[in-house]
Amino acid sequence: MNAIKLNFINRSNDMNNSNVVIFQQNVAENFDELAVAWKVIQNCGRLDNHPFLYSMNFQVSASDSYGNYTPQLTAYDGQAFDMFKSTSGDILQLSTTPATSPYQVEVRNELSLGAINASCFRDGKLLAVKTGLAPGQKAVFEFRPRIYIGVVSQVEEGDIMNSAIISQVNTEINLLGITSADIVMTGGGPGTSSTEFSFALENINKG
Amino acid sequence: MSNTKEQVWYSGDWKTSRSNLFPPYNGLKILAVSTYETTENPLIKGKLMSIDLTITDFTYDVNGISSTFTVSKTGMWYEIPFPMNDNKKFTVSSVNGGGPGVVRIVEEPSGIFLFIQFRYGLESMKREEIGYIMRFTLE
Repeated sequence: MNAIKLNFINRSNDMNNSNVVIFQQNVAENFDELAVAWKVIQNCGRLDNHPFLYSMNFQVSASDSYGNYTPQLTAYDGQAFDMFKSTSGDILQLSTTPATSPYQVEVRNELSLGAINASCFRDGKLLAVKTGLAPGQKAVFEFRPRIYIGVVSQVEEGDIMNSAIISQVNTEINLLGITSADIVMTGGGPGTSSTEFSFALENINKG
Repeated sequence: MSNTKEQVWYSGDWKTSRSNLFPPYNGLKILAVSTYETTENPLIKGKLMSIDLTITDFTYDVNGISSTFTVSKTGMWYEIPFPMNDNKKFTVSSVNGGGPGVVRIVEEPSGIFLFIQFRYGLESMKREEIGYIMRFTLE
């Protein structure tokens, strides 16, 4: 299984054209620390659906202090990548020394001078970032098959969300073994009968 | 004759370094002890007989408040019982609030999976957990 097919369905009573944000937590970092808005579903009206993929693999990339961005390299658990100065300039390359943990991916700054930023991407969208890594430092990434989903306003894909925004996203969906599923949103709406937004998994297929 | 296997799952807000100094002290921990029949041939997997689940909620108690129960039938919803003692500190409830949260085990060609569906956490900031968290097979 290379990717999980997810299908967001809006069965809410929302009348505010709310945005739905999906993100993952880098479990190598503490919960409630910064997270990146991986996917933001916009303008998905009542009874509309929005299919999307969650690939099992993710990619890593680095940028240096000169504003150069390396290509995105597919990373597997236990791998490490070194940013170093080659004869052509700064490049990111799979390291011969694996990550400390077999469940994590590391991006190391092996430059002699200059900080780097390390980024993770899933399905081409920014998933996590670690900035200001000085020479000798490393970023550590670990993702479990879980996504967080919630209704948040004024967030765009790739935005770094602080703990105040993250605390508004309270639903964790566990995707272990799932090949496809619908994520159904209910609740919301105007007036006294309005209820809080809720999410459920339906039409689950497993491998 | 039987043999057992343990698996542990932590909620996404679990803090591994140290607990908070005030509620919520930490997240949720689920311990599953699966019991299998043993067979005379070690190459043949034994049948899964039951799973003992212990759901420990650390929201209002730094040492955790636990609910323990057993599941054995696939496809059937099991309610998570409120603990006999300190049940006011046990915050796990249904996603709609009020009643107990639920779990079920689902048999698939690739194994038996534990599905969870409940809320927990501070009254002002309930968290929802949905989906499959564990797979049970004999190694």
